[in-house]
Amino acid sequence: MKDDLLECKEVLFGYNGHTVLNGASLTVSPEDFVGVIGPNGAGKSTLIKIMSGLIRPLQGRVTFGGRDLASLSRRDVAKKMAVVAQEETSEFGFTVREEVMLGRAPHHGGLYFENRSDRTIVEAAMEKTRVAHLSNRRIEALSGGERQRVRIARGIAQQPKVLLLDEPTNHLDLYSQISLMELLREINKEGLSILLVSHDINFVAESCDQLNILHNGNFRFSGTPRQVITPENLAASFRIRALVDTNPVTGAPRMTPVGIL
Amino acid sequence: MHRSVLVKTILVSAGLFTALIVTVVISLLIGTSTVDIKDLFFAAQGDEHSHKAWTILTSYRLPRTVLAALAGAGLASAGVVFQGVLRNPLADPYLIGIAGGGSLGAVTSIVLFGQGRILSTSLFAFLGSLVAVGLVYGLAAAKRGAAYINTIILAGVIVGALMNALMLLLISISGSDEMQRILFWLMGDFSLADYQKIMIAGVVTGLGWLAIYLNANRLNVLISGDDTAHHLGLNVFRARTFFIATAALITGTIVSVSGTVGFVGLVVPHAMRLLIGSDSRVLLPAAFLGGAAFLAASDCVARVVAYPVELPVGVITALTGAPFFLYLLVKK
Repeated sequence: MKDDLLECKEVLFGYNGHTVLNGASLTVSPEDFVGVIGPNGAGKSTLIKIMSGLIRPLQGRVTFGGRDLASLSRRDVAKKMAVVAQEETSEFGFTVREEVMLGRAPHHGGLYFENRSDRTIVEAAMEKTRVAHLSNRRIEALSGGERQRVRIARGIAQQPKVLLLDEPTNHLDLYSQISLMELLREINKEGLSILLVSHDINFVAESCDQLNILHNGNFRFSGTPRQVITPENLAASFRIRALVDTNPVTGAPRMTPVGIL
Repeated sequence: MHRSVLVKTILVSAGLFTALIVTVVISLLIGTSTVDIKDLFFAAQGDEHSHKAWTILTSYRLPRTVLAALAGAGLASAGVVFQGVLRNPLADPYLIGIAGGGSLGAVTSIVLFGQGRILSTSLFAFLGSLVAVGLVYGLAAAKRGAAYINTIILAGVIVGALMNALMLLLISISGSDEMQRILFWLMGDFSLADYQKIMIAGVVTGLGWLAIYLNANRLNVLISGDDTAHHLGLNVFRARTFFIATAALITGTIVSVSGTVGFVGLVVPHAMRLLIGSDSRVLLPAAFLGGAAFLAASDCVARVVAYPVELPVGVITALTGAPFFLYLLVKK
């Protein structure tokens, strides 16, 4: 199982002399659901870019299954790791099925026509994310929540070991947020490990099993949501005054902001 | 149950191939002197009149039609690639300066050596295209990164404008009496088609298209965005360079044998996308065959519509392509 461990160790990164990540270390073990929260500019998106190999750290290393990410081919990484990053718009919309089928790309070469097993995997991914009824619609005709689920379906079709998500709740209405949360919990239970970064504290506290607060390029607080979501920690990292109680139905910690510091 | 992509590819290709064959046959039979199928039959038996018809067909109409079809195939395929890689619906094969560079090269040759030296016109046009693409690519590579695509488009527009200005300067100061020739070249012209040009255009377009098609799924991945493509296991920089270089080579070669025929590389990819969707595995063969049929038909019209005057083929493609493009724009 150690083969599927995603880890970054003492990662340093910056743009134009401005430090974004400053010695951050994080481990995503198999079947983990790891959440990272932090205020804007804390380095959350950069963390996803570093952990997915999109950019390389200036110092420190990112390893997958004990091997340096930079030493693995792009295709080999994509077979193990799927990323749902901030949406990139495309002028030439694919249909939902075509988009989800792109998830099979790492498993094939430059020209292929999908076989029966590809089709089964794609159908299952669309069923799981409840977009199967949209399969012949064009992406740009969908709502934000539907597009997000299509992108997760594409990630599932890659058959990865770990799924990385960057601010998945951006621009989603409440219905879409909650259905996204349930979907993520479900696929995590089925064995996919998840790393999720978001500024939405309650969403992350409800979803994940381990929570980290990223602040000034480093992890300041780590533990279970209950250990991490405290008025003191939120004050220190988000500069807000907040009440923390418990969601009576789910049992997760619940944060209510009452003012700024 | 949805139809598999392979079946769709075969059906679309077969349909468009039939359309292409029909277009080519009609174009061979129509002209300023009639060629009867009967004549072709009697030519084999040594009939004098029929022999003349046979000569018109094989040494004039056939090479011309085949070259037009090849050019249409190459330009439309290159258009699919440029629109996809640059993720810009307004992109066409000439966007990155190839037309400007090719025109400057061709005009230089016509001014220097006169219109008789057709081979040197082609050679100069090809070299001009290469210089323009090299300049654009050099500029973009110097600024590798997130703004890469915008840099390529801007550099292409600027290099193209510069080349055009130099060409106009050259025409103005040379006082060339080859204006008719230059005009035809700028609007595209297949009247000087011969089998040597067909060989060159055919080999480059055929092999280039094949190389692109063997990477059709990579083009699909690239269309969905640089970061997404990276996360789907693609080496984005390498793939992009391959696609742009191959499409530029095809375009430069076609420009060198036929001048700068407009609109084919812009409109045919859009029309095909409208009909069959954005999947490159279907779109690339469709654009190849559809582009071939469209340009062969346009050339036939250019040949006969204003008899005894022959129109530049670019006039026909623009007159049919522009309204269609406007329609697309309004419809969206």
